[in-house]
Amino acid sequence: MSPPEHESIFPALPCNTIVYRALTRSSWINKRTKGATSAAFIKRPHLPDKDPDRQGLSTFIAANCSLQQVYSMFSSCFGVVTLHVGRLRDIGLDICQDTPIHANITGLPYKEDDPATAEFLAGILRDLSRPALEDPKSP
Amino acid sequence: MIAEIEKTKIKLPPYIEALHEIATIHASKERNSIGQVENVTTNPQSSINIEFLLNQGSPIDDILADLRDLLKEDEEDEYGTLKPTKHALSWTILLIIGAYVKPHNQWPFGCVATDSEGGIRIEWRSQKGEVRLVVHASDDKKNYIYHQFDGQYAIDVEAHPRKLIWWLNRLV
Repeated sequence: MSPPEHESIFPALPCNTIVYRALTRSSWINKRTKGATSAAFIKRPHLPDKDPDRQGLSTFIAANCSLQQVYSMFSSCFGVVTLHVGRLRDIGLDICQDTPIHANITGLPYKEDDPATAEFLAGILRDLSRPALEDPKSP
Repeated sequence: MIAEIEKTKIKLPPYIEALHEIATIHASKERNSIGQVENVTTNPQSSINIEFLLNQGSPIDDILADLRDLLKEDEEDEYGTLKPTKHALSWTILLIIGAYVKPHNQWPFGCVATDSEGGIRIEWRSQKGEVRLVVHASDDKKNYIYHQFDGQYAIDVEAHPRKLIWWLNRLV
């Protein structure tokens, strides 16, 4: 049996934690504003044989990994945005750490189950996100 | 831009039919509004002049260019299917062209993206609100228009050019 979305062996992350969300598609970046689009915050659907976002939306803990590391984890990463954990909790979401550097945003519905809420929360996350400023190529 | 999309290797089966459907809808509307009967061809080999839609730098030009760019992407990436399916692409073009035949110069810029299954999402935002068109990868899921105005949000499951026009006009 797979663990529920919120179970973690790590203590709860403090509200002042900053997490990174990788923008692994160029189309997740608004060409005009250079910020993220809502598409970057939609969970992939749960299918019988595939459910990569079952545990939530993937993020990386800024205090425990560099932007360079985030960029290097993907074959293509077009940008990274930051999110403030306290702000996530303000809107009823939470975050669950599952490795020393990784955490999942929990509480987001699947678009297939509740499209209106999934879209609404994706828009809120987009609005809360800020482009990460550190140059990933810097040493 | 349309011509460039047509030149790609991907064939868009419902595309011509979609244009005919739009032409029929508009002809029917005009007929109803002015009480005249208009000849509308249903011959799929005939061409419909859509150049009037494509003013250089118009919002639809950007959207069609972005749709074309999606076709150049790899089939998949770590998130899922990256290239849009034929179904999603043809329906998106149908809905977009159907909507943009109306005056649209004040509609905001639309951001185009694919979802993890090859569906297409377009989002428009202004200070007044937000509209998103979600076209799924296949017809086993219903396309929808998400709209958010004055702190209220909902899904319109009737993803039709007429509805899209109505919601996009609210952004102006």
